[in-house]
This record gives sequence, structure tokens and C-alpha cells, in this order.
Amino acid sequence: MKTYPPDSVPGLLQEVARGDEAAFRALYDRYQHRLLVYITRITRQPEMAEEIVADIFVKLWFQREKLEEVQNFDTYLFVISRNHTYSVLRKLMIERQRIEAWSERISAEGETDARENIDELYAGELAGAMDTLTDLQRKVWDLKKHGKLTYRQIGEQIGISPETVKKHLEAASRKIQAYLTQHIRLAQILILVPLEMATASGMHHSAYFI
Amino acid sequence: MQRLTDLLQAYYQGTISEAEMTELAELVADPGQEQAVKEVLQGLWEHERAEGPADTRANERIFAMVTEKIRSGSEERIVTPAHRVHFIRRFRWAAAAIFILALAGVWMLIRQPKIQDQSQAMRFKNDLPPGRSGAVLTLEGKDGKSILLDTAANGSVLGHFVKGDSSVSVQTTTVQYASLSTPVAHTEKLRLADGTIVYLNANSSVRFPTVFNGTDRMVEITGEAYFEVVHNGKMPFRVKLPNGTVVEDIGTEFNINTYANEATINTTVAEGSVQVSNAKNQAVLKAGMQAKETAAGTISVNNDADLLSVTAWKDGRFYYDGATIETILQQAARWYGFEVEYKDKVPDGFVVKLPRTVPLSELLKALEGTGQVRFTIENKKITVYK
Repeated sequence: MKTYPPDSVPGLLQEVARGDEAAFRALYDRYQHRLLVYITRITRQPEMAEEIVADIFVKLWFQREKLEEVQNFDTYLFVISRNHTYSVLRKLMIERQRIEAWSERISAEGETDARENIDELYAGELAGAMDTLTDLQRKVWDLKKHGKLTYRQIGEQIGISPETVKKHLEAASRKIQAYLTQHIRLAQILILVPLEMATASGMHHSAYFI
Repeated sequence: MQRLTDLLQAYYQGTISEAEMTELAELVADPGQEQAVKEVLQGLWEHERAEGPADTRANERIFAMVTEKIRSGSEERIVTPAHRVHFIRRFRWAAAAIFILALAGVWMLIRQPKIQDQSQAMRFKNDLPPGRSGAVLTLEGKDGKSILLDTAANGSVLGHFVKGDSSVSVQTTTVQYASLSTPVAHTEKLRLADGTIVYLNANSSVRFPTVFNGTDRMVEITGEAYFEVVHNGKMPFRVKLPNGTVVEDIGTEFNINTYANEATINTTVAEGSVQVSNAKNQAVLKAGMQAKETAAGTISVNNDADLLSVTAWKDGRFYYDGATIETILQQAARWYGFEVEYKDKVPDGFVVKLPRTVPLSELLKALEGTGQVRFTIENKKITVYK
């Protein structure tokens, strides 16, 4: 197997462009770690990050002819991964907002119908989140969520003031939010389409959807 | 823009606070910020030096994914089989590298046993107890009240109900609406004013009037419920599902599964017959038949449903005859309250007969007994290995 000196990226790109797998592997070895660190820090989903890195190199291979004209490979690598990285980040943030809105709606005063698939999607995590609550927090949360009652009604039920109910509910809501947002499940929300073939119009138009 | 840069940087470095996180989520969720976010992402990429040692196993694992994806991608897109073989041959050296890595892996295995090779006792030490009876019973209206049946004493509850060990009955002459709602890992049995019995599975609810006095008997459910209806031809019993579909009894026992994470809403008839209707379609089912309704409203009917598997939960059993591991664990997850991670693909066709009252480890041991699958339990999470 050939070895490549550290300053040989332009030469590597030419060889990859001609279809040389050993050069492709050398290019992969040089950038894989940095790309994985980057994508993992942005997505916070280590397994998904590995998948994304793999997809990026697959895309590189299928568009290898273009490497011949690439001046700055660093930037090129970012450009072909940015749509994907951005979409994952955005979905992560939207899911986070959904969880926040859901738990705030449950703990808010008044009758609420918080029916959402969060209960189903996060059934296991919710059980874990419940373990972080005190007995009283858990009791008011269950009564509010499943009983759809007002603070006053819950207070009468367990013999505490509506203000105390509110306090405990808000604390429960914060704990549950914190727990669920640390366990965001993207795999079920995203359907990854692994790869769009390069188009003749060049790299800026080659879509990379999720 | 500066704020976005600061927030994203803190997020990237893992130093962001909860309040800042909420702020960042708002910015990133806004599609108008796409360009700005991408610019910050580029800056982060350019400054990433990736210090620290690279994980050589991750490196090989990801490269194996790359070659696999290229191979299957070439199948779809580069078309000719000859091309595909050619590609694999050209990647022979990669295969050799993976083989050497596999040898190294064997050596590592000898030195340090993998988690799934630990003893069963170790892997199952964070066992979970089975679910139990319990629910929140709520009386609606101005002076609405709720009670947790788990801890309430047997006898009269909320003035209009009588609680038993694992069931609750309506006993009143006052007409009002009430609901019964089970959290994860709980079930409850409800006897309605007309004598109809409703079994409520975990993470489910039923809303009902305490007295039936109209032209029909309408109740609403979410999740999964089994009905033993006391038939009354003059006052049909109707069940309204979360998607608006109505199931009407024609003298009967039936199961309805509306869980949102199942592919379809399934109505299965054990005795008698029912009619399932939505805005577009309807179907009449007799005993032993199952209707599957898709999100689009299409109803397909299976004349020979696996009744035992469908209704086992209300008899307190696990019963599967050739099921996938996903089906089994999805249902068990509601009963024990856990999440699942799949590390490997497991073959289908599990046959399970067990009481639901066993701890989780017993179910997993039975599944492991097939030699097809292994599990670990950690923090209410099950990991599945081959």
C-alpha cells in the first residue's frame, strides 16, 4: 500500500478523482476523526454522527470527479456536509421546543389537553424522568396530567394550598423537561435519505436532504 | 448574529445553560436564520482542531459503513452487477484491513469481556418490576375531583364509584362525565353503569358518562382497551377513537389498540360482531376478525386474526406466536416502563407464553433462551444484541 506525506492533500484529491481507493482511504483517515468530533458536538447523537460521517464520505466517493477542481478541500468537506448538519441541529432544537411546550402546558393552570405523541415516543424516558421527582411532585404531576384538574382541585385532593401545588408542578415540569431534552430521540423523527447523486450543475446544487 | 454565534459556540463547547439553550432553540428553529446558522457552523468547523486521540475502532466501523453504503448505493444507481462485483474486488484491501481488525477485536474480547457477554445476573441486575393495577379516576364538571386509585382505600371513592382490588365500578344515579387514565406500567378494570366491563392497558384512558341516558352509549378511548359489552339493541354501545373513528358493538367482546406508535389502529373481535366506521370507510367484523386502519383512513380486514396474541394482556399474559422482537419489546416497554436500543438486527419468529406478573428479567431470560438474542438492562433502558 502506498503511503502519503502529510502535505499531499492536493495530490490525494487528484488520485481519488481518478478512482484510486487507497488514496480515498488515506483521505478518509486524514479527515474522519475531525469530522466525527465536529458532527458529534453539533448533533449530540454519537451513533447518528457516525452515520452522517459515513454518508459524507460516500457522497465524496460518488462525486469524486469533482475533487479534481477542488482548491480548498477543508471548505469543500464543510459545504457537502452543511445542509445535513444544519437539518439535524434544527430538528433537535424543534424537538426540544416541543418537549418544553408540552410540559409547560401540563403544569399550567386550568384544564389542559396535552395529548401528544411525546407520551408514546418517550414512554421509557418518562419513567426515568418520574424517578427524579419527589413523591409530592410526582403526585401533583400525575393528578394534573391524567386528571386535568385545576391547582385548587389538586390542592383540596391532597391537602395543600393551590400556591404549593403550582410550585411543585413547576419544579416537576422543569425536572421532566431537563431529563427528556437530554434524551431527545431523533432517530425516530428523522428519516435519512442517504445520498443524492451529484448533478452536472456542480456541488452547490447537489442536494443532501433529510 | 453575535448572539447566535456566542450561543452556538457555548452549545458546541457544552457550556451552554438551560436558559441560553431555550434562546438558541428559538433562533435555530427559525428558518429565516438558516444562512446565519450555517455561517456560524462553518466558523466552528474551521476552528475545530479535533485534539485528543482518534478512536481507531470508530474509524474502522465508519469505514465499513462507507464501503457498505457505496456497495448498496452502486446497486441502485450504477446499475450493472458487473460494476458492483468490480467495486467489491477493488475494495479487497479494505476487507483485509477489517479482517485484521476483527482479529484484534478477538484479542480485545479475550482481555476484556464485552458487556453482552457478562453473566446474565450482571446484565439483569437493574431489573424492573412488572406493572400493576392503578389509575387516575377523574370526575369532570365544575366541582371536578381526581383520585389516584393506586393508594386509595377500597370502598366508595369520589362519591359515585366503588373501588375494589384491581377494578372500579360506577355506582350513581347522577349523570356526569368521568374518565379513567392509566400511566405507563399500570392497568385498571372499569365496570360501567350498564354492566359493560372495560379493561384498560398501560398508558391509556377511557372517558364515559356515569349514567347512560341517551339514544346510544358513547365512550372515548386512547391507547388500548378491551370491551365486554352488555348488549342492548335499543341503545348501541359506541367507542370513539382518538382519530374520530367509531366502533359500534353488535353484541360483543372486542379489543381496540390505538397507540400512536403502532403502525395502524387495530380493532379485533373476540365474540359477536362490530362495525368500524370513519369518514371514508366502514367494515363489519365478526368474531376472529381484525380491522387495521391506517392514518389515511384505509381499513383492511384480516379474517383470521391471532386472537390469543391480541387479547393476552387483559388476561395478564404475554402471548406471542412468531412475533418480531420489536413487537414484543414495544408492548413490554409500556408494561415495565423502559426504552429500547437495538445494537444488532435479531431474526423474527419468537414464541412467548408467560404471565405478565413476572419481573422484566424473566421475560428477557425466556427470550435469551432461544439463543437468538441477548440483552442488558441499565437505567430503565434495554439494549438488544444478537
